[in-house]
Amino acid sequence: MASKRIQKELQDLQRDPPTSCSAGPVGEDLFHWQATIMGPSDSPYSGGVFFVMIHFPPDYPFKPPKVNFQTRVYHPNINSNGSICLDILKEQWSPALTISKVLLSICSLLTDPNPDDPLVPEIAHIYKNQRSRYEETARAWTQKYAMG
Amino acid sequence: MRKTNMNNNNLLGFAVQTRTRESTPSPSFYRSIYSQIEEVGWEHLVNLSDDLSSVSFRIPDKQRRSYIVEIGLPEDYPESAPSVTAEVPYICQLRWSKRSRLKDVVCQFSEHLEKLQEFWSTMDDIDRHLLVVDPRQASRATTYRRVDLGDECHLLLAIDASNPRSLPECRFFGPDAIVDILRKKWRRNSRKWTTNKSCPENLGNMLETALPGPPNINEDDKQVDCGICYAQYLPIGKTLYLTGSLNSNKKIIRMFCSLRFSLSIEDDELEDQSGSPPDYTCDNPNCSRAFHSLCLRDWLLSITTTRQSFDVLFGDCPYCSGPVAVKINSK
Repeated sequence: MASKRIQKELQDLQRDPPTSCSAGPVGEDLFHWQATIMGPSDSPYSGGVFFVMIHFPPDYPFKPPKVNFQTRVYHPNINSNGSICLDILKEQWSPALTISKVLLSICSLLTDPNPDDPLVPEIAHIYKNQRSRYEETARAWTQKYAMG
Repeated sequence: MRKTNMNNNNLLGFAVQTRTRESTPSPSFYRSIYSQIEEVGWEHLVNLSDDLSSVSFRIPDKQRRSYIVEIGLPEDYPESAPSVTAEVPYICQLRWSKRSRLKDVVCQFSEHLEKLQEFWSTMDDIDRHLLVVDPRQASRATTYRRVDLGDECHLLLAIDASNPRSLPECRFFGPDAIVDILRKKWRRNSRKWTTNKSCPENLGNMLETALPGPPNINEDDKQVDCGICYAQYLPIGKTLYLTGSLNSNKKIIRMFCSLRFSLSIEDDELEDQSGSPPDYTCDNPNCSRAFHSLCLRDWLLSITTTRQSFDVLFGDCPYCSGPVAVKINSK
């Protein structure tokens, strides 16, 4: 069942690709995808291309996919391992969501961080109190890790 | 206590009586039947009863439609001929000798299927071009169609399966005034029926009018995918029922095991619902997402917010969060 649904999601992605992201299987394994997310233009991540790993659990879509950043990101909800703190990837997961929707949610998370539920409290603190410093660092990281 | 025992004995007696054979067939009978099934091909086998009183095969025709044929094996088989039942308008006369085998039955049945092709193409023509009101889901054995002629009139067509292109037996239903006109036209034009035209064409000529066609198929056929597994139909479990008292013949047991092994039997729970379309729709009129109740049940069972009362699960629709409820052992 999982593989059939994943196949269908892949078809839908190819037929109607979302702007600013793309995704597909890495190799033969349908349960292991790679995706790219373009840094949103209204964020300090603008211009960067971020690689994301997606692992589908065997009981997908009853369990959420595991999504990790491979590219380093300076963000209150993304830690140095690339783990993402996003409710729809955890307790708010629903089979009504798709990879395409998840990627779009990550895009909006890049634009609007959620400092009240941080994964990296230091960045959240800076985001809350010294916004320009946060933006500067985020831009610098994007330049360093997500370009070229 | 004693009374219960007696009841049990009665039940047991009844159970034994319902078996079609009084004694278990001999090992040699098993061996013979199994080798005959092998000649037909195990892949065609659909069902084999415990006591070898009947065996069913799935036989495809040239149009790749498949038919289930059930062959009843009498006690003195192969001395007396087996009986054949299948969903066809009529069964062929079986040519049988003591040396005939199951594959001969299957072979003759396939020939019979070819003979019936013209009948089925006539029926398909009617279904495709006319507004059939009965039967809604015709089986391959039904030889009649009731078609809507408009003006509250219906025409019941009984097609002769052995001569499908001939003038069918017709009965008109509806308001007398209109039916009378139709009957008159029918009588006047009764010679216009020709075997080289299709049945709908002939009917149009005889009634001197264009007959109403079937409803727009695209609209009616708009099938929806399940909102969870994204498939329209649940996967078809390849379950094969094969049981029997095989204690006497190791070779048969081995054959039996390798067969089960090669068939990669899928989820047991799918058995009832395999191949079925979505059967549950969210009650919220703004949502009305369709689901397989099996998928929705699995989802509700996988989250902690689901409440259960007796065998019903209560939770939220994954799409609109409206209330949904499914039975745990949904059939």
